[in-house]
Amino acid sequence: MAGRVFGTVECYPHDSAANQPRLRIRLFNVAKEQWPEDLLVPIDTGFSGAVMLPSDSYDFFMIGELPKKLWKDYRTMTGPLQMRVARAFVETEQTSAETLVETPLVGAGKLLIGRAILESLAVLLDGPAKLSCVMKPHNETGGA
Amino acid sequence: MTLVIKKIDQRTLRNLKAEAARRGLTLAEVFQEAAHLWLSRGQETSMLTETDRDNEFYESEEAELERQYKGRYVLIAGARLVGAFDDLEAAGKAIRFLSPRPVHVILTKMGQDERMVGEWLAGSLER
Repeated sequence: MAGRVFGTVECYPHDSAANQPRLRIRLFNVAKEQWPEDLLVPIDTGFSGAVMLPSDSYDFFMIGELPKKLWKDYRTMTGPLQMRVARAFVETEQTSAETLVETPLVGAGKLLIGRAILESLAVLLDGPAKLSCVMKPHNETGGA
Repeated sequence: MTLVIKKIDQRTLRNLKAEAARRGLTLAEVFQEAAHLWLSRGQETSMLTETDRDNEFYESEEAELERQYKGRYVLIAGARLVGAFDDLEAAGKAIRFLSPRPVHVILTKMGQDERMVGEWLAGSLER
């Protein structure tokens, strides 16, 4: 919204090799068991889902999987792609919420976060500084 | 006996740690189990079987589950109905108490979860 002033909550460096913007998240399976490490996850604004995982990491979340007939279909430039889908919880610097984690039915998958996560965050992509920053409206950061 | 492993793939180690944490095992116990499974390879993997069996059960019982538990979280493990829960917290707690711990569990909110369609612009899976 025009005219709003934001303050920085936390910034994360872009991936040095691919220069991808990233955000830190913590993931939990439905049993509230935490994935053993915080993840700096590339942001993909072309992905409408929440969290895509490599297939081997997805195993940790299979204790909350949706039935096969409810797995998600994606339109991609190279044709349709089906994803397995599991319930999970995600925490960022600003939010804690139920989410869906996904991995391709075929293929190794990738680690990335999409628009379903970004919808709940204010994010500044600071290209020149190679930083992605989680922001808060200024009145929430204690400023004037 | 102490075993030192050098040059292990970082992602593999991360996944092993996750599995160990999930199942309350030490890394040594996970390596031992992995070695045992590798040595007895050739048998069908349990992961696929559990997934398929749970889904077969769900599809055969879907109409009845929807009739009985509409709006509630239904939990299926070991190809049987474990229970129906009013909220996700309660379902998660029930999963924590399942013994032996399943590799795969179906958890769905009857009548509310729907098949979804998304887009992944320029998405590709090449490495």
